[in-house]
Amino acid sequence: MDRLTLKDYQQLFSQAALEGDQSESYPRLLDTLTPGGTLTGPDAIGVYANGVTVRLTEALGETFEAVWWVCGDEDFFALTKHFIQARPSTTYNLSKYGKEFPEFLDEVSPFPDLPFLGDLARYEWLFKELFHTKQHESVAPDRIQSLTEDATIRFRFGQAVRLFASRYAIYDLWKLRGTPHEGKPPAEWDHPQLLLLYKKDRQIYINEVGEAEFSVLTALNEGQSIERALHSAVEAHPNFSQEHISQLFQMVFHTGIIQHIEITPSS
Amino acid sequence: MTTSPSPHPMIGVGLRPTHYPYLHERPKTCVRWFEALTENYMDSEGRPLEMLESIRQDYPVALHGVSLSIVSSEGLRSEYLQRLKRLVDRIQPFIVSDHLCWTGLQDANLHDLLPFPFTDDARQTILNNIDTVQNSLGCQILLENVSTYVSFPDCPYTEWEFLTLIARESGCHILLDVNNLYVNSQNHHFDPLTYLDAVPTELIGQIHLAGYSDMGTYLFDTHSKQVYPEVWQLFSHVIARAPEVPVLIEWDDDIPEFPRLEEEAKKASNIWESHHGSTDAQRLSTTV
Repeated sequence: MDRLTLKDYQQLFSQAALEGDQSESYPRLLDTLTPGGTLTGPDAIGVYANGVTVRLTEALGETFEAVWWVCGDEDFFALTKHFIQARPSTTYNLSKYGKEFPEFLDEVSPFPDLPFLGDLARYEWLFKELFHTKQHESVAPDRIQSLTEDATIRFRFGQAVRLFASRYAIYDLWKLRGTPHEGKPPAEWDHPQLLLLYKKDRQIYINEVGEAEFSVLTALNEGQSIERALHSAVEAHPNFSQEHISQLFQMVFHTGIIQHIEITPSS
Repeated sequence: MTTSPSPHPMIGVGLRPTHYPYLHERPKTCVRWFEALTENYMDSEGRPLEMLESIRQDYPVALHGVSLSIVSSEGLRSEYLQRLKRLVDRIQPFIVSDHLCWTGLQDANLHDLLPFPFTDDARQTILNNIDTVQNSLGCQILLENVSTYVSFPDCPYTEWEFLTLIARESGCHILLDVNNLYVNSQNHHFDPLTYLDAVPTELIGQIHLAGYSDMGTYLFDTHSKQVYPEVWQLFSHVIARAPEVPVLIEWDDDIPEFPRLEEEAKKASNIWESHHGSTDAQRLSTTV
């Protein structure tokens, strides 16, 4: 038999490692190699095929620790096996594998009694991204407090800031990950949760905020002026009082989430 | 990227996140340098990179990758090379290395150090890819021999002939993993000394030492154990003629406390001393 080109060999090997003996190329690959030790040919290919599954599963387990905790080992590994077959890795960095896992969970909706799984996975991916994000330099609080009201002011949040909204109490669930549980997860998860995540002093902090506050932060993050963001929030949430606004801005100042202030003098 | 002559054994250990809290306290250690896994830092601006930069203030650092895929018939990922270069420029490592293997296809990365036949087809692909990397980085790289669980009959080259040829023709150097060499000798039934003696000393830029797992039907490169006596013997054989080559203790799974790694480093140091004379033990134990 003619020797395979490197390219053809790599195609055959890759298919066999992912699809096992179901792959059409499997017999041809077996013909090209000599198994190591006292392994059989299929067992030798199995060493690599198993390694792929183990590594990708470990990567998913590391990132989606809380999803694993909620599902339990058996269901989590069934899910990851399905995901790995459906979405092979295209990233060079193993730790970046799994970005589509939240959407996959939404699509397959594996457990109707756990409707929050997609959001929980989305939160874990976001948390990982934030962990690897450089902490920005914050605008000093006294600079913010000296701003005058007769100007249009926009805040630009730093890169180490994230906003996260879910219909479910994702943060409450996530905080409990690792604690022993049997059956349903112990947290009261069936209510919305709105979160501000940010880095300060090289640590990640997570603040739960109210609906009106979240709408203001979202609007500011999208580049709206303070005036407009507050106006929209007050219209949508009539109970959003001056005291609430004051508390919100105290929080904004002290979390250090603002990286830049744009001031346009009022005409 | 070459190392300067050293009157002391250049023994290092792998930098692993599990040891960050210990190393954060900046203890005196007996290791002379650290090897960092490239991919752990090239996509991060968070704590891992801060830790690496902190370590770099006190120690020489080598960057060791697992995803270059130098044997890829599809060519190299430009994004990977760009990020690698950025990290190299930032950390200024004294060695940049990866493995003589491929890791999968671009649309299905297997994230493993995969075997390939030692053919002229592969040789040409590898030489082209090394040229791309070394030009991109502006420095020489080292490539490591990997453990394999299959081999390919009727290849024109043995593994050691191929490794040497690639190094000679590309200008890269060899990261000689003595554990991998031993694992392959058992899995593929050859004399490890034949391999060891065939690799020219001047092409060896670094040595790796690690532990394997005996799976009954083959040896598996797990990096989850101490270095075994057979591997220490081979190390002794090679270090006798390569005193200036930096040596690294690798331990990637079931990672022990840092002082246990230092014990392995001291064993390597003792073997070095048995060939090249005693070093100033006090200096060795306090060098940073």
